[in-house]
Amino acid sequence: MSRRKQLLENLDQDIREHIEAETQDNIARGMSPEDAHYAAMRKFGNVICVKEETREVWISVWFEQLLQDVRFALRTLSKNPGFALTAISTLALGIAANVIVFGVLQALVLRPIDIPHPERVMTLEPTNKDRGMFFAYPEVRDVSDMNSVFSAVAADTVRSFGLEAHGATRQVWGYEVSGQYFEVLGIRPFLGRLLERADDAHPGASKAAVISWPAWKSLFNADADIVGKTVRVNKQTYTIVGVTPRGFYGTEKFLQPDIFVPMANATELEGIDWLESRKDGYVFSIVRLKDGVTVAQANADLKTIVARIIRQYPKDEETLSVKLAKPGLAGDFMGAPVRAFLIAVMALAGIVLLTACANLGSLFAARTADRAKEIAIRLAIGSSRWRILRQIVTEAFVISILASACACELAWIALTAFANWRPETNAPVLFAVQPQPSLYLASFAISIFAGAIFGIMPLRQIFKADPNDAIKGGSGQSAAGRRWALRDVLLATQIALCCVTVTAAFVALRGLHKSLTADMGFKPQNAVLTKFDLALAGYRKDSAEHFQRQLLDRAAQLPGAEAVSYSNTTPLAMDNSTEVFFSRDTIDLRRTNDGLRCALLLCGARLFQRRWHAAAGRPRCQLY
Amino acid sequence: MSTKEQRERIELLQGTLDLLILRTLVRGPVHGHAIAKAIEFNSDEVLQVEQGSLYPALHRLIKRGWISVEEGASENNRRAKFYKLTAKGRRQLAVETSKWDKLAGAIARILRPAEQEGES
Repeated sequence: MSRRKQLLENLDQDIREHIEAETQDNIARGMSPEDAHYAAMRKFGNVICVKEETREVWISVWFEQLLQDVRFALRTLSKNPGFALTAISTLALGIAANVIVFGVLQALVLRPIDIPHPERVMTLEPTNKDRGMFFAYPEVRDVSDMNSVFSAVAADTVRSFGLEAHGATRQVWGYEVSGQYFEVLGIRPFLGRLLERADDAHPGASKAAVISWPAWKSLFNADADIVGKTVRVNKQTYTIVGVTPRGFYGTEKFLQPDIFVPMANATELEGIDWLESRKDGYVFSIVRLKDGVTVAQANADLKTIVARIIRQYPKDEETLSVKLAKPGLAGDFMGAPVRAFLIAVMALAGIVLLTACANLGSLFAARTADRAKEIAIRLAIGSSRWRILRQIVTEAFVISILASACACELAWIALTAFANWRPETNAPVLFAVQPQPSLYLASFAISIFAGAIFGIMPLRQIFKADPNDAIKGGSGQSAAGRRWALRDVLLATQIALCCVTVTAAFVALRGLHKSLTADMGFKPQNAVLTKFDLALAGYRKDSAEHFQRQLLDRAAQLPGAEAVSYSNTTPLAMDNSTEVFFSRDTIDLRRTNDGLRCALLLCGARLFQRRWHAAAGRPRCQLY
Repeated sequence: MSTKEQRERIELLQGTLDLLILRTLVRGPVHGHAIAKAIEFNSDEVLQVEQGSLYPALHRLIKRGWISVEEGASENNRRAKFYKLTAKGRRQLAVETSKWDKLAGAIARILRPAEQEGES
């Protein structure tokens, strides 16, 4: 290092002495001192180039020039803040759009659930869409008993619970899980233990509950001695035996559960007995493949199991069919639309970025045209075109990297807001889209891509630039008139892309408007909803009926109340309680013979004043 | 003489300049200007070295460890840098020389029949 420095520091002196010696030689040959000096200079060549080339031997001049270029770019940008601001904000928006969509895509689709060997964990899914996305619990139990391909098979279902702790009751959401649930996931508890097979052996086998890390943090004040404490869940006393690890959000990505309880206790907790019913599906199923078993093998095994189940229970299981799907979004049931939607949005974001690039490209081309003189002068004093191009591309990269920094900030804010957003639904919907550090990388990659795209726009201008013309004041105007300039192409591209985006935006807006103003067949105006779940407070059939009747009577007396009623759900709400209706002369009451399958709306007579007809073309039935 | 022609000639010399410098240093330490002079003189003034290009080449050779530098006094008793061939450089000179001989021989063999055909 020091030797190199010394060598380079002495280079000036060496060159001076060299030229001096040559001058002396020339004088000795009889030249005048002045001529001798010039002749020596001529013979030596371009001193600056020689120095640069020599330095290049020692230092990565590439890096040195890069720093120079970056400094120069920052200087030109700060001299022209309007241009800098426009360019950076345009690009920042384009990049931010992409980074945000990428962040969501990564969180919901690309990133597996945070468990060991997530690639071995799959979810079972009915291939028959009529059955919805759920299984009946006995079906999952059958798969668990009969299969030879899974190391563990579990059922889980999302429920809301009334959790009583520290003298207050609140509604929380959690999972009822079968015994092998945590075996499938393979996670280790943060505190205590997780639920095991013994906890789920039979109804009432254990009154153990596991809470999630966020619940431990927020509902139990991160109590280090939580294990062994009791809480009341739907008025039943449960002992907290453990806490799931941080970063575990259950197996469905849209939900943040607070508590896990054994599924065997479902009847006791909910007051409804569905555990042994093959008619109604209530559970998801999640499985872990044995080592060495492929998805195809597992699917084949599932097929034989399904055939056996159907043979055993032809009436109830006729429509059963099962396949494996990626876990996290209720299998492909929600996964497929979510993926399709995100890819479409990603494409739109890509178009936005391309538009921004085209925009900046033409700005850059225009700027390069303005700087034709500067470029010509630099060419004339011996700069290479390559060097000028590099400088302009560096400027493009400086802009795109500054923009990407802004975009990161924007994306971070947006994703955090999105992750913290709790839409007003019944379930605690959670978008686990917390920004990850990998977003920086994505943003950087996108910015390099964008910078490269618009940075090379002025390429032709630079290589066509003729120092003679430009300095004389022509600045290449003759070339502009003759043929389609790159800028025209850019403009056309930009307009085309804008058209696509604007059209897409309007189509989406109109769709939204239509669905908001669509005739739903009833008038939601002036209707006010309230929702409660008496099961959470331990009410059972008789006491609940009594309570409801009382409440209804009191509500009817409220001033301004025109009609009051109960229903188990509201029309068009996300609810999965369906009921099968058969036509009057059906004897064999199996699923495929159903006359009508619809969401069942149990409601008070005052809500609907008329009879309800089934869809045309189907056997007509009437509800009285 | 246009600049383009000159540039092409330097391009041609690029690889050989290192060899010529090594050869010049065989007889003992020489300083920069004298190397240029020696190359011109020994080639009967046929090879006009653009003297500046000597310096990147010298530094390249120093970096590779083929030559070393030492301070000393020049003929007119001024401080000067003397470039000296190292043992490694001496070996390299042998390698480069035989390489050059092979190259020159091969090119000559290709060119000579071509000249005869062109004349006939």
